[in-house]
Amino acid sequence: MNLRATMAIARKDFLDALKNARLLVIILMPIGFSVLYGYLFRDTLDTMEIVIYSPDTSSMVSVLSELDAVSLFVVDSPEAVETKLEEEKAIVGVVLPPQFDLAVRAGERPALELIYRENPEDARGTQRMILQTIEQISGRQPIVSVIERSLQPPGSAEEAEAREPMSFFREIDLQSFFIVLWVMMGITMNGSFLVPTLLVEEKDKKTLDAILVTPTNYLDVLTGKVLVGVLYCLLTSLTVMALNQGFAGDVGFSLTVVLLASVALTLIGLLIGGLIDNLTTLNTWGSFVMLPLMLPGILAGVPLGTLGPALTIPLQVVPTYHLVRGLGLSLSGEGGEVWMNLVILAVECVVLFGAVLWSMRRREA
Amino acid sequence: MIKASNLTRVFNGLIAVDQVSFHVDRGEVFGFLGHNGAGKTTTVRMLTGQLRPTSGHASIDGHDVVKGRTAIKPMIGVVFENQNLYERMSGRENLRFFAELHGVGDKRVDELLEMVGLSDRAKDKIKIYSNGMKQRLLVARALLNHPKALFLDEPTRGLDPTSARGIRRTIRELGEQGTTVFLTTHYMEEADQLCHRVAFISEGKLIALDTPRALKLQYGLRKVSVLLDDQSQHELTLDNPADANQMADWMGAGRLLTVHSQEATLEDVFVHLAGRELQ
Repeated sequence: MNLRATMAIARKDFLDALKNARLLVIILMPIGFSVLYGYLFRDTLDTMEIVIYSPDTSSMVSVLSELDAVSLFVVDSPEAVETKLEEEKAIVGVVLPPQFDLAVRAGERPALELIYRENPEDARGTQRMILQTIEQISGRQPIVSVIERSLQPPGSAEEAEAREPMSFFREIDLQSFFIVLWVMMGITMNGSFLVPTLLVEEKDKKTLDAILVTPTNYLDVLTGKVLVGVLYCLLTSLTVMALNQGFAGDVGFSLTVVLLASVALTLIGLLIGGLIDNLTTLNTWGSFVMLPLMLPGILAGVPLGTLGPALTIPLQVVPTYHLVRGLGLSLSGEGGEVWMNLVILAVECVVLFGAVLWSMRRREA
Repeated sequence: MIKASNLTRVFNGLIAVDQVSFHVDRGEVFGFLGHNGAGKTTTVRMLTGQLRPTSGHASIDGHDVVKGRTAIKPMIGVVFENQNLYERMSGRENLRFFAELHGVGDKRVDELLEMVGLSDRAKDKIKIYSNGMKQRLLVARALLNHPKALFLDEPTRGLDPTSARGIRRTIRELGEQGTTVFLTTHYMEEADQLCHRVAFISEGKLIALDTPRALKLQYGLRKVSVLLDDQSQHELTLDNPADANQMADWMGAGRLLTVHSQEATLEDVFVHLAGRELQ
């Protein structure tokens, strides 16, 4: 392995992609979409209706009311909280005990009651934000006793089970859904289209021949392309996340999912690039390859049960399924549930790397 | 320096190069001539380690081109038949990229840009370069690593006469400096001017190998064509004493206007041997 050559190839491709209008569109499109949709849905994204009862006007009220993402109703009794919820004016109700702020600062364990209009799982983001607000007031990790209940009558165990196997992730807020969608789009387009374009163009224009008569081998070339592909996947993803408050929830899990998916999709791109020798063929078939990779994002909101096993099982082999599910759950603060997705993505990376090496050896033979 | 022994390449049952054997001495400018599709480029690709021979062997400076592929890479430079440059990059950026692959510094890049007369256009993008400029840059790229053996595949194809002359001058200078040059071309005059020895390849087989002079003498006619002051034209045979006397008489009488030898051109020799025209 020639590290100097690999870095030279990576640097050349990184800059060359920016000079290629078609590749630049691929790099910028998901970011552009995220900005556009963020603007178009700004009202929807901004509104998180919370109703609160605070007997002695906790500073939590002022902090919450200053948040752009919150539409806050302050009421004068716990009963009024339920009334607002029943009127569907809010999705979460908060009932604070007297002297809440003092208790929090004193490190006591005040009871905070959260009342959900419907399924508590639907409002995890709101719960997280409320806890973050308390942390802001107390200046440390909040020690509160959260009592949760829902206005929706509890169903039977069978009903609950029937409701449970929903879509890839349990419901997430619209903003998180868009983040997942644009990150998935960015990684898929960069990995499965930009990367093969970089490789196929070298073959098509015969510049690969010129590289391979220098002290550089095919593995150095592929490694350089992987670096560029992963870098652009990460740049696009992190930009989308930064522009859309996506560094929320379990950030470590989010970043790990994004990294593994970037590597997997880039390796898929190299496999595609290894099979195709000219840009015309790549342009013709590229979108056919991209479509199944994008499918998990397109179907992200559809309950898995409605898709049927013929679609559900193959879908779960596609790396983007694990990206969509893993990132969705991580953004909702449920990173603990994405371990299996991380493991599957890691295994897929290893398998794809093996496939790339195999195709490389085959080419050299 | 370059040695090929029974070099053969078969593509899907089609023999592109058929048991070709030759050697090229150190510092020699060796012409590899043939019509389009004769097997010239395939031979170059095998000699430069880009393509595995189906059978036979080749070596450069003692290193087998298959087993010692890594060892031959720092020793060779290749000017490809296609103008395979990065169009969105400038001339200097192209050279700097390949200089990095070779582990060569920027000083060499500047030297070569100067040598091929592109210093003042070094910042321009390749897409606005003329064919001649691209070809000169390809030669510069092939020389980045001070190659012991330089392979040039049709280096003057499609160039205007001025650009072609510039490339030929560079090849001649490289030969004089001791670089081994393996030149494939179908321009016979070019080979005649530049090469110490030439090999003819047709339908994948080597059909002749010698110095241009020897080939021309071997296959040319030993005759001269004479134009006299009365505009009459005559052919005289060099081996006939009567013709020699006749020539002496005309010269003595001051009647000769022009005398042309009937020596064959390399193209004549090729057509004679291959039974087909060069294209």
